[in-house]
Amino acid sequence: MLNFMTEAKEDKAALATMHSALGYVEYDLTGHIIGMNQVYLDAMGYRLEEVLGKHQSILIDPVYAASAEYKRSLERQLKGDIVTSEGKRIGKNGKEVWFQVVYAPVFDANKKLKKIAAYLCIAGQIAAIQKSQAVIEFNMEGAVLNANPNFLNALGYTLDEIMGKHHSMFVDPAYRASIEYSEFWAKLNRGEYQAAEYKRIGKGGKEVWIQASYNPILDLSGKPFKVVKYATDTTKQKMQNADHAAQIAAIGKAQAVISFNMDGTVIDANPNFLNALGYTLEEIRGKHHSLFVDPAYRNSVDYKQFWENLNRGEYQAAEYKRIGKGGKEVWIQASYNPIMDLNGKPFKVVKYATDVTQMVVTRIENEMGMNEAVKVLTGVAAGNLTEKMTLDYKGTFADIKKAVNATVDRLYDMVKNIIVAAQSVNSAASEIASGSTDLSQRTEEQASSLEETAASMEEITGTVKQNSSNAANANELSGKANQVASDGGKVVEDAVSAMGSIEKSSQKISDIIGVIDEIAFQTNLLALNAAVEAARAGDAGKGFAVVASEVRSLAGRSASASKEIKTLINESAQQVRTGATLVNQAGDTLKNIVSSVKQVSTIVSEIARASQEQANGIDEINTAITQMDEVTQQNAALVEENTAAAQSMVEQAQSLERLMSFFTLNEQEEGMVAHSNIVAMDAGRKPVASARSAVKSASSVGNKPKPTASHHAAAAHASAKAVPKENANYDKEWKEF
Amino acid sequence: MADNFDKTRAIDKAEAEQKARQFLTFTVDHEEYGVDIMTVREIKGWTETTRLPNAPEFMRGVMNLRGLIIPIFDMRTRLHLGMTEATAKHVVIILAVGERNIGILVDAVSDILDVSADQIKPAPTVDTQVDAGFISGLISLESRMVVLLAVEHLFDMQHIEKAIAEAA
Repeated sequence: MLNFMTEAKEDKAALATMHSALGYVEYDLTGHIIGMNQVYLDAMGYRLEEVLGKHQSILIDPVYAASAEYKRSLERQLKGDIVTSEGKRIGKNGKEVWFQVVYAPVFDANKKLKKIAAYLCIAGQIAAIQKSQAVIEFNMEGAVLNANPNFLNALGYTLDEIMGKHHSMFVDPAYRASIEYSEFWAKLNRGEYQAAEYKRIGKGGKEVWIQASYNPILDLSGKPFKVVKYATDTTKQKMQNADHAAQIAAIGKAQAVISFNMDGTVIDANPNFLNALGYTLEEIRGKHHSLFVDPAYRNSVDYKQFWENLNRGEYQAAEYKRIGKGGKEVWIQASYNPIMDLNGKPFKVVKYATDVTQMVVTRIENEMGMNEAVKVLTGVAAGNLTEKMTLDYKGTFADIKKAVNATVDRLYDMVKNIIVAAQSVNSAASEIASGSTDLSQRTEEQASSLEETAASMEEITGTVKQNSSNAANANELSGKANQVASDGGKVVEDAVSAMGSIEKSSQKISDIIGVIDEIAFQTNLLALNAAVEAARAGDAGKGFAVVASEVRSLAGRSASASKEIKTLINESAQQVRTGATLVNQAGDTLKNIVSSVKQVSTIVSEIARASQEQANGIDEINTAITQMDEVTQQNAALVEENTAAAQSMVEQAQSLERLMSFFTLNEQEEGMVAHSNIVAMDAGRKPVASARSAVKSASSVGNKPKPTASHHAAAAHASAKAVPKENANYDKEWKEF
Repeated sequence: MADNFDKTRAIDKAEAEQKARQFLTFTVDHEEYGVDIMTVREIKGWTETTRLPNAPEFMRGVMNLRGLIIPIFDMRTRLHLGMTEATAKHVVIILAVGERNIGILVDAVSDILDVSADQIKPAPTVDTQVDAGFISGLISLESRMVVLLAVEHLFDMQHIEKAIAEAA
């Protein structure tokens, strides 16, 4: 801003302007004020008379005036240096004002220091500038010395990020490397002021447009020592301008544009227009607009009216038929815009047009296609799948035709497939229903078997219990038998012992008899001796002989008796021995009996234990049977549900077939479909309803099996009767195709 | 035996005293033999004898009978009927033969027969097991035959004496 001081060649007007903007004071070499302009006086609140002849220190802050810095500043001023400073000045009544000051030595013709002039810029103004504008300072090499927040915000940097960096960081890399950029800094170094609209690059590559002035600050020798740049962010405006230009260009690119004089001759036309009508610019320039219209129209009142309207400045827009080169018919959607001069009088007409020939041709085709499409689609809506679009179309309706026909075909196939699928479902559902019936019967049989099993198990339980009881009784009886046999053994032993005693007694008797026999024998001998003696005694011995004879007789009888006894005793002994043998045999037999009884007892115990185990096993079996019974009942319930579901499915499938009969297919397809339908219905003829009755009987597990056969037969009969009727209905429906 | 006894009693006493003789009968091997009762000294049961060397086969040995050495002969052996299996029930009859007493071993003593002289028949020549020289006669009773033995001829006493002497 201060560079103007060095511009000695500046005209007076400029100087006056400067004096009206800046504070000015001059004082002599002793520091006394010799002049002061109104700007400064106003800022300080003095009148000129009040300060003339006063020492300049009245304007200086006393603290600063006493400082070494102030003295140094004065010394430099007196030496003839240009000194810049920023500081507080004290006005009238102690009013404090901040200024930026440049002290400039003023020399006389002999180049001797005459006075000191000081220009003061009120710091408030600078602050305002600082507030409203982006300000940045560079040294002459281009390195950043300082930047204000506006600048930093505009480019998105912090001061630290750019301090000491070169100015080139803000410019486009292409520009950075260019001669223009080098020239730019060269000019600044020559002290040349530069101002223009510049594109600068912010942080992150952001494009920023600024209106900026680069102001080299010169020292007293006229050599620039720094550059201060004041900039305004014009990005938004720049962008808006660019937007407008681009939009106009875009219109030019997209639309046919032609401009006419008010008399209807062509001024200019863009390539779009030329292409649309097949002319070159040279062929039409200066020619009348009527070249492009139908000859009939050209001579009409309407056409005359058309131009009259334009000449009145009336805007015209419509769809127009125009004739291209070689009589080619071209349809355009166009607006004719009269352009007014400053007086509101039209001086030319600009026409913006869009070639809508294709559109118009297409529209005609569209109507045709639309009609046919409507016809076909109405047929489809009514279930007729035999109609198709057959006319030839170009453009969209060729696609629509293709799409509509594909839709009809697809729908046709789909309906056909659905019919076939519905029949398959019907057939399958019938099979499922049939399967459910079988399953139901089997479940019933299973339930019956289970019941029989349960009954058998009951019998077995009874038998096993009886068995167990019998085994226990047998065990007891065998114990008793064992006891009896043991007792018998004892008796046998006693008998044997008694026999032994008898034998002993017999022996004793035998011995005694032996003794008796011996005695008898001796007696006999004695009697014989006596008889011998008697015989020797002669007659004297006759009596004695008689006695001896008697004695011999007795001895003989005694011997005879003893012999008989001996025989008897021997017989008795023999019999006792036989008896003993028999008793011993009886004893052995009894021992065998005891042993056998013990074995019997063991076996019976095992039988009893086995019976108990059997009973346990039977309990488990009964539990298992109960569970099986429950499961069977669940099965029965499931079978019932299954049957119901299958039945429902059959109905749904039939319903689906009925629904699908809405669609019309061609004759051949009908035959095929109808045939498969009959096959499907045959499959569906199987009795389905019997499943339910079967399940009912199956669910009554545990009761006596009821005779369900007749029930079944009845159900089967009923369903067999029901299905053919349905089938007949179907046949009738199919005939409608 | 009682019947025999009764029959003998039926004989006339007087005649009997004159003519009747008494015989002691005994059995050897189921045959009945008799000796005159007057030759009988004693009847006793069998006791073991002392065998003498170089004695005849039928001589069972000698017996000390109240101080007398008496030779004992086995009648069965002497009759060539084998050797008697002697038991306490066998009987030894002590007989006086000449001046000497001998004992004969028999199976049993049967009876004492009172026999008149006419009841005694002469011995036939060849119908007994015994040499005719030994038999003094036969007594025929109702159902049986008793052979009367001549004991003095039955044994070679000299030889026996010699044997006894040598043994002594």
